[in-house]
Amino acid sequence: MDEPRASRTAARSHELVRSPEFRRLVARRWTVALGLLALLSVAYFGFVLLVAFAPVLLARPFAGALTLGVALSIAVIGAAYLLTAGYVSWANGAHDREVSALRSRWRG
Amino acid sequence: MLAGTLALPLLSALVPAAASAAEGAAVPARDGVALSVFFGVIALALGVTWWTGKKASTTLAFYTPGRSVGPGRVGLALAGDYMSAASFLGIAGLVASEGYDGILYATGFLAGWPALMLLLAEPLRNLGKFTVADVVAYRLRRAPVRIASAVGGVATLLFYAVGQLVAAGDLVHLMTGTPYAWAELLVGGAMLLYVLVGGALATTWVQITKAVLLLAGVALLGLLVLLQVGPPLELYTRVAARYGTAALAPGALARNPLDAISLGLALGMGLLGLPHILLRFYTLTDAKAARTSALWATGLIGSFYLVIPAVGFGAAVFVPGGRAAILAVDPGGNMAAPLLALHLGGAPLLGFIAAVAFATILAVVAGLTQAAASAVSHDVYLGVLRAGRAPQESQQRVGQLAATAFSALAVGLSVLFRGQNVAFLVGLAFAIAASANFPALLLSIVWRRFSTAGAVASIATGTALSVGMIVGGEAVWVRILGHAQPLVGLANPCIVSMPAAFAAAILVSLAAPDPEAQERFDAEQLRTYLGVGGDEAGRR
Repeated sequence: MDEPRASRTAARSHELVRSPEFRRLVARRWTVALGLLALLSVAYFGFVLLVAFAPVLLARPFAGALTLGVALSIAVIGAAYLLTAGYVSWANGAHDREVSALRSRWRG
Repeated sequence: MLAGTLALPLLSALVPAAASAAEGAAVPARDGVALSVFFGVIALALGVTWWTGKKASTTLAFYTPGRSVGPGRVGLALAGDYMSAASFLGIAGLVASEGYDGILYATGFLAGWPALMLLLAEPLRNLGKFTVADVVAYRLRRAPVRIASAVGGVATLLFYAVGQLVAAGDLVHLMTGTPYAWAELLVGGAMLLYVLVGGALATTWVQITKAVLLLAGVALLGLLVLLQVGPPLELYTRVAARYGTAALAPGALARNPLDAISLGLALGMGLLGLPHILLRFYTLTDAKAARTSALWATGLIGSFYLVIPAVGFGAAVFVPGGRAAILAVDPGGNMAAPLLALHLGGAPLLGFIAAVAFATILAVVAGLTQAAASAVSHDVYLGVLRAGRAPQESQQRVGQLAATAFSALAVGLSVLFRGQNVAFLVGLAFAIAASANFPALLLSIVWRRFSTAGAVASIATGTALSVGMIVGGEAVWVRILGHAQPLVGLANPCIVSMPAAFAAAILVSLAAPDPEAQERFDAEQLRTYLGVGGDEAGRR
């Protein structure tokens, strides 16, 4: 690729990346992702901390001989799946529409 | 020095002598029906591999599922990449022999998936080409990052392969009575042959076959356990009646809280540094497909890990002799699920479950060998030593040499790690992955000021600390080298090694900035978030 074209491309990417629309897209993407990550951490690392520090609580019966600990481990797996599903439905909908709008702006 | 200390136990393990005669008594199988089912199913699985391998002969077709395959099937393939017989046999074994503590593995192995989706899935899809180094080095200086990343990647893959091979050796030993060390050599030879002759190992269809077989095997065992106990809760009543309620609550893990947290961290974050999983995201057609496929994979893997603890508890309750009998066959407990199969379905079911586990292990280790070989031949040989220009044949030769060396090393180590629980070993591999690969990968995507020196420092710190702490820890220092006390109190090093790798990345990047890389961050962001630019900008 010749030099002037490469530097034109660089200037264009610089401009698009600094545009408010792009900044907003990136900011929103990370707000959603980090928010969901925080929920995941509460569920999973909360569970891990209970295993480490509250074995007595987890040994309490939940239903019959099934302990709270076993029930919680199942709940964490369920929560992880639901979080993933929530992210996918947001990203494949609203987020993807914004991405394709910006993409067509890049292609001009 | 270390090699010298390790060589001695390795040699003594290969001399069959008295050891194998004594342990032969504990093995219940070696039954004609079980063996014919075992070899029949393995032959069938290998046949499918060979047949699909012929159809997809180009490197592009290797991973690329193409537009014709729907996200559900790609999800199955992703699940096939991830679900391993080692985690199945290992978790079932841990739950059977220790009870609740094994459940943490099942939960942790799934928890990484949402994290992968939220942090890395799309950037990987948009930035990746062949190896993990492509993404980390996107705007950094190629050569140093490629070398570091090959080292971190190979270390991860090696430990992961060892976990799988220990399970395979146990299986072959259980089924045929071949002494364990020879079983390992046999498995290693088969895996190398598979890589060198087969070629197309990671084809989507091989992984789909593997996923279906594993899911079917686990579901079948789970169902048989349910049929035995009646109402599902009854299983826990029986476990509690036989082993006390302690079996249904944290045990050893709660006695060492820091260990539990370190293990939880490794299990949850390791996925984000596993080269052979990350690579598949490169091949998906668009971001939407990447997300939908990963959601399918999460669902399938979630159901897999929901059922496995029930299989483990089932083994503790129904295998005659219970925990003691399971541990007598293998001190790591790894044979709990096959023994349960033998008891609930007789010799044919034992043959089937063992074959499913074995065939899937072969597919996993072959894939790992291949990923390691391509890190060496593509990143180090082609990218660094030959500056991007080398004839296809010499690149292939280097790849074959690397595959052979990797298999030999993996087999040697797996002989040494005999008798350890394989889910625990996979947890160690996850700790290396989370420390060596994940911090550099994440920072290269999100942090403008990340520099070449920072990346190298992060990968070097993560790899050296995690591997070093494993060697000084219980698994190697005590159980292999025979010392009375470990040098490192943590069984899993992640809680030290992962933060250290992040700290090294940040401190070194700030101390040795890379202005050119900061300028290129704009172009990288376009590619990360929109999937455009970058390539066209003349970078590659």
